[in-house]
Amino acid sequence: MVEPVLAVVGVVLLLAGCALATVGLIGLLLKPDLFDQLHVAGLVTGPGVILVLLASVGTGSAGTVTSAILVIAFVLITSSISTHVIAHAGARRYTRAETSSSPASTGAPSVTLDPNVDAAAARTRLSSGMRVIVAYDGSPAAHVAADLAAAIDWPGGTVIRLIGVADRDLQPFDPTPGFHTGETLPADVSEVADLARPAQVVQRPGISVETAVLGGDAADVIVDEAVSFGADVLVTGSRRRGLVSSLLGLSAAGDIVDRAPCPVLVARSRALGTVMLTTDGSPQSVLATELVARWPIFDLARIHVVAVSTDPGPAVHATTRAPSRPAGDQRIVDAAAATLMDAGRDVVTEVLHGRPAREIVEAAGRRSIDLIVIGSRGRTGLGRTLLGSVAGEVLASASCSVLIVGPPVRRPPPRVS
Amino acid sequence: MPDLILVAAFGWSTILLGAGGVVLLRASDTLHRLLALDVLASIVIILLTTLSYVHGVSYYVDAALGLALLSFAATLVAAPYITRRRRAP
Repeated sequence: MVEPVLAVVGVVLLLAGCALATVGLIGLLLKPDLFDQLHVAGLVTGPGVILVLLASVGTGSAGTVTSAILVIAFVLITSSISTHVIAHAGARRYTRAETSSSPASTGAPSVTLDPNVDAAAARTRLSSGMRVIVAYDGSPAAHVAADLAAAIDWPGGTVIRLIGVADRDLQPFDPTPGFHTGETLPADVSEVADLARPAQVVQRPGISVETAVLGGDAADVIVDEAVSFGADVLVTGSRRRGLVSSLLGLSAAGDIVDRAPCPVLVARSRALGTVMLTTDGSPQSVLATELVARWPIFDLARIHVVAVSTDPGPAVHATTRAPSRPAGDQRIVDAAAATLMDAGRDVVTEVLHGRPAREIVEAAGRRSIDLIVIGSRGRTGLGRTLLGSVAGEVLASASCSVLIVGPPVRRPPPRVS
Repeated sequence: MPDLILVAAFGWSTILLGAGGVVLLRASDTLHRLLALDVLASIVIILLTTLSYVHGVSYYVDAALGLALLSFAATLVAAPYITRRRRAP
């Protein structure tokens, strides 16, 4: 007698739960703003789930009803807390984004950056030559890297060290100035060790080229070499990555970028005529700005300075956020442009709106940019896989070269020799 | 409850799961993604519950409880972590 009634109640609750979840998902798809989305997501995570679980009364199974009641009790507590936590994070994040422009625009950015870097001393040292590592494995991408290294107008006295990496473990060659040609190398590594061609390409009066073939894991070897050489910049090629491997971070170039002790130039083009500097007022982007201002190789380049406004949309908070933020981004761009113009650079500024990585890559395509300079927080491992990074996205999707500038102090993980 | 309704509800939740995937893919930044994952976990809970009704066994609901616990813990851990990030360039 009771059972048919419970069955009807169960069906009604089940259908109502599914309907609420549907309404919530439609809302999620239609509303771009985070806080609007939280509102409609609450329909799914709260009432939607609970109604479906309450429908267990229609099953007539004591075990199912008991389990369902447990889940309902749990969901009642957790869904509200989850929503609160996300809303809190959203509120803090957006207010922080609003105020983050002030430090960069008020003072000399280099002071807050890194007390260990004396800009003037660094400039003097760099003008008497840079220390460059070019990673070379004989692939077409590595040819591009060598060609780019050859096209760059390095200051006199620059030392370029070409590193070939062999898959199997070799005794490392002691690199000495000048050429190690193919004849001096064991025959079985000739395919990776053919550094004579790139060495000739790179060779020019005033700069010295060293070559070395080392054995082991490519990223490990190159990062170690950059540390021991005290490299100013590391030039590497980049094979186009597929979706899966880029999601998993399975790429030697990405691996090198994560761990290198110096900025990494991932070569995809063969010139440095127009450069796009992306900035957000963070320490890394201030460092990137300093670097573009300081490095002699940018003396002749035209610099586009861009910031991307991550305005989530003109919804709920438009009245409180929108008026101040474009001005903030403009100030960041202006501060960077001022630093560059003090160094005598040819500067154009621009503020983009939208998703940072996509906007940067599209703008670079529109303006036929040769090189994107971008700061990176140097997130590694799990954080990178789960959260992604703007620099990583730009690196994966840009068709031009990318110079990634890491955090001021970065030490590779200690390695046992 | 009639089987037809149960199977229809199960099929519909599967479609909702697909829609949740679309929400996740369209998410413009990490907080949106986190919210989409939270919603996806809820949809999977709905899916498991309807599955339990279809098969007439209770242990799918226990699985749903475990999932709810994990998803809650993940949200709690991830949200402050995301806020610590500096703003993207």
